[in-house]
Amino acid sequence: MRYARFLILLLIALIGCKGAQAQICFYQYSLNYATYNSESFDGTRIHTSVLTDGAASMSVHNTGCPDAVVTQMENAINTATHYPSSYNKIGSVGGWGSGSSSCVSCYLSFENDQSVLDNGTVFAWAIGGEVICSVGGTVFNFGTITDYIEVAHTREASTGVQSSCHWLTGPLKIEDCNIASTPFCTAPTSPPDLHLTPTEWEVYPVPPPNFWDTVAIGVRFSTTGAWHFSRGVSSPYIVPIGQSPNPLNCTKHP
Amino acid sequence: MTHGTTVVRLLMILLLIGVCAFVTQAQSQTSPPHHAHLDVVTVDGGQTPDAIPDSLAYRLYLLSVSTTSNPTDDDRARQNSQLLKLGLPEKDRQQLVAILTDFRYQYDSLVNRYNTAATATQALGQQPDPTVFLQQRDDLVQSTRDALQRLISADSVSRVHTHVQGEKKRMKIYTGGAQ
Repeated sequence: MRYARFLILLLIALIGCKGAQAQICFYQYSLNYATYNSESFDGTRIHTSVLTDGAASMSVHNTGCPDAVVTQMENAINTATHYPSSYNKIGSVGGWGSGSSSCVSCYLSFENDQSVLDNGTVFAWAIGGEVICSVGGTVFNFGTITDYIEVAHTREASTGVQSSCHWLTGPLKIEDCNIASTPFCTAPTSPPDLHLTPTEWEVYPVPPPNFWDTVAIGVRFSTTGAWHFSRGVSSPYIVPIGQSPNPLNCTKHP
Repeated sequence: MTHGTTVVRLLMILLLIGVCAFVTQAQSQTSPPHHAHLDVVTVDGGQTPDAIPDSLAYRLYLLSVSTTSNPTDDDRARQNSQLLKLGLPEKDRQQLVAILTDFRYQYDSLVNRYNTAATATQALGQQPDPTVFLQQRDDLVQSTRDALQRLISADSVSRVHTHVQGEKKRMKIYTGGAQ
């Protein structure tokens, strides 16, 4: 009987204490961030950038916490700082980079830039970011993803089909046209990763080339996915007089 | 009632108080390590590029491709490689570089001014109001786009615009609450 009474009292006490569950207070944030990742190629080096831009506001979520605790937490906000971190690793180069610390409502804008010498291979490009609070820990983690980058080379053979011809403005009489083409690569490298057509060339007064080599940087989002190339840079492939044009060992990473 | 019964009852009461105190302590702690992001809305330009506003896309692009007024060799190489993607005539490219440098100077100045004021406001225990700053930020982006329209050829403006639209797929927006 004595133990039964004790168990009943214990049950009542636990139910009573359950009310304490509501007495939770924690830091909460209102976020407004934007991120942008970009890559480019300068002819020898691949450049990658991971940008974080935006701000957050911070307050105390309070459901019945003692006033003293809430006041202590609110005072901590007044002196707390936030800083952004961006992850940018291409191949084995780069990693985390952090911006400077500033007040919790301050505007953060930070870019982590990296570059690596192109060696003709596919580079894994890991991207991520987070914002850290000195009193609340991680404000937000943007997650980490891995993309893949390559610099691709392709030889193009003109089909002679022209479109969107237009005269350039300026003192010289120059006409440009878009010229369609087909890849001109060795058998083992066909079809190539990169095939950009049409390509804009001057057609007057200098006639366009019959062949040209195009270089462009491309990204794909998995190890075997489709490549997405940005605008390439093309230069004429001059076939020596009396010789046949040689197909190029184009870039091919299926 | 014996003396022994009283002691047992006293012990029971103390035990109950202890249990209650333990549960209360365990459940009423502040909890900064919580990082639930249930209310954060992510707009992924890779999935829905049209959901990335032009003003935001231009802001991120201009920031990423601009340099400070004292760029390093690496900064210049990076910028040149980024501008190469646009395929602009040399005259327009040079003009664009000047516009970008001006944008970056004004952007950094604007952010520094706001952050200085926000730090002072926050130190007083008040919440800074970013409304005016955000409007000025967006106005700066718009005035930079206006400068592009005025100072480089229509064809180059079109190339820049097409490129920025394409870059939206590399942009993401995160808004909402986190804890």
